[in-house]
Amino acid sequence: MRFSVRRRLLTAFLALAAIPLIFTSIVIGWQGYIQSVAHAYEQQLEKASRVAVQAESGMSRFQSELEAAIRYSGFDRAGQDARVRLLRSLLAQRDRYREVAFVDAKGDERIHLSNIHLMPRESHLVDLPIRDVLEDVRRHRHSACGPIFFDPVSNEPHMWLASPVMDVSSGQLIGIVVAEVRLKTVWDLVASLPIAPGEDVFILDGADRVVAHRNPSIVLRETRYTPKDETDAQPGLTGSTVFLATQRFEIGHQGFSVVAQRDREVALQPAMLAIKLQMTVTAVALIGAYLLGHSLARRISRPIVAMAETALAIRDGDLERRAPVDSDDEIGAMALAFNNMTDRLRQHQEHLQEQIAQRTSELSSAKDAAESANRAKGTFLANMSHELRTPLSIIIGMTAVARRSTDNPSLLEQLEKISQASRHLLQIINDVLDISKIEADRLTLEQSTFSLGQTVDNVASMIGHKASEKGVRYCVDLQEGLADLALVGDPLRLAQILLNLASNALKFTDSGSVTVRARIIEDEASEVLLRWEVQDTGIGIAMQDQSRLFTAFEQADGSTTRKYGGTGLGLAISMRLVHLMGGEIGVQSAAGQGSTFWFTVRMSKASEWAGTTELRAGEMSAEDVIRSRHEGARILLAEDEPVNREITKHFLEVAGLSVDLADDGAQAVELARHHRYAVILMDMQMPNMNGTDATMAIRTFSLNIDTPILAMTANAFEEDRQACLAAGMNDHVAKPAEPEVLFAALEKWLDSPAKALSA
Amino acid sequence: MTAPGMRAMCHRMLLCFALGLPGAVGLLGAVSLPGCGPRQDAPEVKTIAMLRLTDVDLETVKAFKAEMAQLGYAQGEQVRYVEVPPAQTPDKLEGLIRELLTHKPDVILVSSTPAMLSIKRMLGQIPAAIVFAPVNDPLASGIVADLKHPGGQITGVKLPHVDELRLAWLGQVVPSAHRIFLPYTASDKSAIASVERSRDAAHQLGLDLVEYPMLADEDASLAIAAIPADVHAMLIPPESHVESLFPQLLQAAQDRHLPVIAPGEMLVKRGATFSYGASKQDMGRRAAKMIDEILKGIPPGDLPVQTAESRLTINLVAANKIKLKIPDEALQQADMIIRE
Repeated sequence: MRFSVRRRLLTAFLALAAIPLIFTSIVIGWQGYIQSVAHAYEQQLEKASRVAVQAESGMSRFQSELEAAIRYSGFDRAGQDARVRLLRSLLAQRDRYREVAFVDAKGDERIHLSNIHLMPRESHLVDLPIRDVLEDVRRHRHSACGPIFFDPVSNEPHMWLASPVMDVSSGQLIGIVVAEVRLKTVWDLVASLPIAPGEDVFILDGADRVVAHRNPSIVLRETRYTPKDETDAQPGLTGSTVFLATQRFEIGHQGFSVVAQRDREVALQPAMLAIKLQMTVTAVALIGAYLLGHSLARRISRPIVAMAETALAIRDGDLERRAPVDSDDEIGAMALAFNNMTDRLRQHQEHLQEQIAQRTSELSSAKDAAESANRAKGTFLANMSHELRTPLSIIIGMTAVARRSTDNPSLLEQLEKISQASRHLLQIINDVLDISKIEADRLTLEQSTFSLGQTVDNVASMIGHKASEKGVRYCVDLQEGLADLALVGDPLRLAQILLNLASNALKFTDSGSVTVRARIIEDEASEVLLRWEVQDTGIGIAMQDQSRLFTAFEQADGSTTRKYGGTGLGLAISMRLVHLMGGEIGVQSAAGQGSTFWFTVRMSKASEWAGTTELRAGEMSAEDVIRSRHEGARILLAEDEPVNREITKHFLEVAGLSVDLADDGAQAVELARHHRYAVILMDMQMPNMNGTDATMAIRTFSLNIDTPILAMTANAFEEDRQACLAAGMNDHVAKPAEPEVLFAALEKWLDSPAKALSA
Repeated sequence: MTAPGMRAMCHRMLLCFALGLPGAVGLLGAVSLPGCGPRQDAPEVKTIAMLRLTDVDLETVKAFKAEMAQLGYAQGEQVRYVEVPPAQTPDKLEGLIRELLTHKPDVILVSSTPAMLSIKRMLGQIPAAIVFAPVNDPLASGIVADLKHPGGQITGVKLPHVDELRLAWLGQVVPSAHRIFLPYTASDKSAIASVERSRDAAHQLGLDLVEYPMLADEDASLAIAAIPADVHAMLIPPESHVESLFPQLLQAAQDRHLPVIAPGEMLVKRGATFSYGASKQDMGRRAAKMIDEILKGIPPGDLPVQTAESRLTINLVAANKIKLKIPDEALQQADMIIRE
């Protein structure tokens, strides 16, 4: 099962647990991230603002101090010595001032005092970049400062600050007091800031130079840095990604920016910790949900799974299986209903089994009855065949004997009519037997090599003289080469089909012709499909009657039987034989326009054909051959029926053979133990010992172990022939035997006694 | 049909969600609250070793410790100090350095040029940062190659070269003094450099220096005997040997009513008339701030060598002893005046 109920329940449970958990984690994590960013920015902004205030305060103090020293000391009216004293007292603040000077309105340096130079050089100030500052003060009449610079000896930051000295009464510019102030206090301010790991605070001047940093090396290298005016993360002073805030301030027209930054990793550390913890808690919660869900899903699905297993067991036939009823809920109710349904199914099945047993018993009885009836039918047919053939063979035999015993033409004509009537009756019996065998699927085809031309010739020889007598032309039209074609099949049955169709054609044709035609319509390497046509110029068949032609015991109409005779079995037998040969059969006809019966048969090609032992015109008959070659040969004839025995004995003796008679099988066995025979003719149904047992006894112990034994029986079924061969006999001659047939068989086995053993 | 049974099962599942989900969500929220994160580890106690040649820089060390305490380094908690007695002679420095290294110091605070040169020689064996406070001239003595960016593991505070200004102040404090006696150790390079600067300044100021070179182990008697009768003041150069002879030299000067010009305020406190030179307190404070930066992660070599602040200290008691009147203008510019 791809998706079991348990798995679906567990999946649903996990989904219900995971979705809100994950959603909550994402929301909380995102909120934490946003808050951390905002917190970092606010902290940096607060720090930058605080430092900016302190730095601005520290630096502006120089300006206010200088301005106060000038304004409130009467510097404008003071003499040179007083001004020196005033400036010297200012310079006494050695940690704040390095040098101080007074430049008059013309720009000439009047006083220059220094804490670092022994003797300040003249024009020292004008050589410095402070000239721009002085010009600024002179032009705007207010204090100004120059850019921050670093002393190469002390490595400390300094800045020039200049304040105008104005005449109090006239407001004229008297001069400018210039002071080189030490900004180490600002530097110390930055360096002394409490800075956590990952944080940094520094001051940039207007040119984005770092002028104050806790790492003086960064300042002294004149590092430049331009922060972006945004709250998002950006590259910091040292290259790492930071969140930063800036705060600007201005001293004496010089702009400065305080930058406070915090590394992004540090700033987001609380958020990342919270996210990790959230992920851990989420994972633990999901594991808990899985365990809980697994237990619940198992508990819920257990009765369903049990019921499914029960259903599968019941499907496989275990009707004793019942679904467990563990709960008082819908599933329990379903299990109860399922069990009730199973009970009913079981009862129904038992009822069905009883009915089946009853029906089976009835069918078995019916089958036994049918088989019994079939056996009775077979027995009846066999008995009927034997009982009909026995007197018929006597009639035919006696007629033959009588024809050989008289030269009276009138009597011979009468005997001929008796013979023809007997043969007709024999044909009827054979047809009835054939149709019976076919319908009982007991008819099998022989598979032997034969010549197609020979078969057609045999048919022609049997029907040709009748056509001549009737004044109808009998024509054979074979495709070129077909007459010499050797095939594997049953030539007798093929001849039977052709004989049936040709006989019918001749029967319903009073003038004109009957043509037998054969064509190859499929020629393959190993087999051919032949199309046969028997075309006549007879009365034809109405369309409405054609469909009933191939039904047993049917003719075109009732008048046909009365007018033309026949059993109506010929076409039915032909159709079944054609089907057995893998072909089709049909008719093309119209009333008064003749008929063309056609059929196809599929037969295998034979590599060669050994020829025939059939008699040829101009050769000696079998009887003459026997008489000339085997006169006096000793024959044992086992036959219980006296008349048959007398007729056969007569034929044999006429042919010059010596005949010993046995009334039954036992007598035949006894004679065979003491005498050597050239051929033994063995009836099959005899009292005391039948022909089969007698043959086996002779083959076991006698002087005729290798003597050809020919079965003579009225049992004309194929299985009878096979039974004879199985008992050790060599050939089979059906009764009533025609003298020519009997002599042909005798000639064959007298000429080749050695064949007995090999056969 | 037993629908209540199924409903009860559904209720059980819902109960699990009702109890479990808010709990999990609450736990998620709880761990997100401030203060629920992991505690930071306690800071490691840093070790600072101190190496001195003499007791001259004792005041510097005191100022250093005081400033460290101001910066938040409580002794025994954030920092511990490893001190050994002053070597007194350069040959003992190496042994003291080895002893200090056994304590695996994070920083070594070194005072005096000879001590720093010993450290420099053993630098391959020393993983700690080195901060000197002071060294007279780290460039000239080869301790660092660049004052702005010393590099490596060394930085520190150097003494200001105020020999010229010290003589200039003599003109303001004792305007009548024109001939000055200057003893110095002839084998001390920094002393020689100081004398040369004083010589140039005296020339510019129109003063007459009476130089008296001394041997490294020479006592004060010969120098005192060599004080000319017509000198107006005695100048003590910034060198340890002459400073160690200060009591005898001071006594000789007082006997002759000569003002004594000292390189630092410590000698003024001990009786010199005035000094203009590096403040040991300032040196201690600067050294403390540099070590603070180093302990916060800044490489020592990134910290430029700083120059100690100079202070004008006048001892009126000593001036009165020799009946010297110091002008008020000079007193107004003094950073410290010792009146009693």
